[in-house]
Amino acid sequence: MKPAIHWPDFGAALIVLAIGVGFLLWAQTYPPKAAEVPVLVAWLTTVLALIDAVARTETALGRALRRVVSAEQVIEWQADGDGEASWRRVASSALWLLAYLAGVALAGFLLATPLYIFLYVKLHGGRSALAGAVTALGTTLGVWIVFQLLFRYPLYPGLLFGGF
Amino acid sequence: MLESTLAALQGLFTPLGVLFLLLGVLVGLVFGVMPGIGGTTAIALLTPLTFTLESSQAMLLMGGIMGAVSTGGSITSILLNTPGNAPNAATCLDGYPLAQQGKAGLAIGAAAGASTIGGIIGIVTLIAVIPVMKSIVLLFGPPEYFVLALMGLAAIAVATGGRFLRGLIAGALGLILAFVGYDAVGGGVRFTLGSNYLWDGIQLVPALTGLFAISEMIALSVSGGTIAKANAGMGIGGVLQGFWQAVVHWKTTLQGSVIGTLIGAVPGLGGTVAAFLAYSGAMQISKNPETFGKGNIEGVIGPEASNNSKDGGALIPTLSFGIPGSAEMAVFLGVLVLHGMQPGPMLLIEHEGVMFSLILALLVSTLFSNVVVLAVARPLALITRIDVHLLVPVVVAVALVGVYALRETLGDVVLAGLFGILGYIMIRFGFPRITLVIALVLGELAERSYHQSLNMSGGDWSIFFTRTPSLVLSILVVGLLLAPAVRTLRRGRRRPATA
Repeated sequence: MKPAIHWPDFGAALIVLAIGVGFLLWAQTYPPKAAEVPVLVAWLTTVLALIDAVARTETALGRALRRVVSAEQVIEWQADGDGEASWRRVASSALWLLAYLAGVALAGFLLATPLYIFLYVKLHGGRSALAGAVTALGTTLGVWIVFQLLFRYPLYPGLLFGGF
Repeated sequence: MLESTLAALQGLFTPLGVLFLLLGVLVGLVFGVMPGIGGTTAIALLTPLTFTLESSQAMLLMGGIMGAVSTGGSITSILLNTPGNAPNAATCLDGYPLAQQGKAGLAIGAAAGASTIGGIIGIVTLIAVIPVMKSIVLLFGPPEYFVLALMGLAAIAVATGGRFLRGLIAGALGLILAFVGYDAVGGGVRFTLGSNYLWDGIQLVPALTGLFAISEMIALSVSGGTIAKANAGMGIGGVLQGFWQAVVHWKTTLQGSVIGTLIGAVPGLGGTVAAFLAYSGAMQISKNPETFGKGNIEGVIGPEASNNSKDGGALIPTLSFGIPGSAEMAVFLGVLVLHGMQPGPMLLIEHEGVMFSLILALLVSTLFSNVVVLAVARPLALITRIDVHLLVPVVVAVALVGVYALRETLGDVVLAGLFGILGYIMIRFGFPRITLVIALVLGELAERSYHQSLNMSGGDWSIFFTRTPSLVLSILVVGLLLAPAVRTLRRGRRRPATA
């Protein structure tokens, strides 16, 4: 028996609905001319999200809506098995990215980059320390040579070392 | 004209001429490959170098850069789903799936073929229309800009494929994001959450880098393995076969080239809009539109033809009357002025020889950079065989450094990271990223030209249909929206007949 609601997709529709409603309220705080088009788009988003939410339910209306607005074809690539990937692995991958961003903000590119690459390859990728060290040092050296040495782009030094 | 062409050829085939052209091509390819940094930065960076050069040598250097940047950007789009430049983002949509199927060589070859043909068409058009271009471009006012923006937004309906509703929702979210920042009509700032960084709006390059490159790296980090999933080998034959595909699908190549040239010539629209329009156009005329997004070679050919033809198109208003067709051209205007050339109708008359040096450099660099890409396609394609756990942190780091280098703002790096997470969520829940990007690119233009048009007409909406150019464009928009339905109807009629 199919569940009455496909919760992950329904939840995504509800989040968009909240964004639409929130944006609608927010847009109305601006002068009429500045709000005109944003309000229109906010209404559009809200209505579309409502339709999407209903279409994710196993009701007669939901099934009818799905036939009209959601076909089987997809337009862009989706990672193999991504839909079934555990949220733990997804969260871990996102956290590595956020950790790198935090590292760059605090310590700058030249310190955060080798540390991030080494730890990612070793801990997340499960590869050897040597592979991690070579990849980390090679990339950092390459970045430094190309960006800083050749093209004279200053690399962000980090909040701890004078960045702002 | 013949004398100027011969003089430009003589200037090119001197040791110094060849040296500056090659330097331009090399810099263009390198800047094209590096995510986030594009032709604008490359031209800006080398402008001081032209101080001491003769005008014709400076034009060879600049033409070399312009012709090669788009070509370089297509490589990372195909191999890593990381657009080298914003206009290359459309190439990711089918180029990367092809790389995953072990057909990176085929995709790179097709991109090179389409770029070469597109580049030539753009340059030939440039030469042909410079004398009459002023009157054509002056036909475009706010109503036409608005309808052109609508045309791009209408492409959303086509580009969503089967996920129509979620595609529209992603488009609406893209419009919401496009409203963030300075309001060109009202003069205030909107939706910035009190952040000074957001006053300039959502920056396109960090957003694109996040949506395509970073999100893909998150997806790869989750799935593991290698980018190329298929066991099929990637011989050099694939590259040449890909090149040939641009000729086989000549309608797609031609259509992409025309779109690139036309959109490139309209100031303010830019290569990103052109590439996505070319992509949706390719889908419209394809016999297999349902395979777009899954590795259809026409999805590479259309945007790539557009990417290289847009340079010729963008030079038309830049040279004809000093209105830059893109940010890259705005910087290039500075180079012209620096060398004592005042862009405008008299430019071609007063500096015909120098202008032909530029046009020749653009042509040769388009050809040369594609030859270079073809030559190195096979070793480059091996990237798709590297363990993603080694590749992911490297691409993330290089992409974010590139994003930072563009404006030296930490906010851009954070924005790219956040858009990366947003992009992954969109992949996971089936929201097409392409529609968000199209709306993000066009939202501000659509809103501004809408208000300007209504100001012109005193609030009368008929202004969008009473001017001939906007009427023609409006008819095209309706055609674009109706085409999928017409195609479905025609297929429905054919099916019973063949059953």
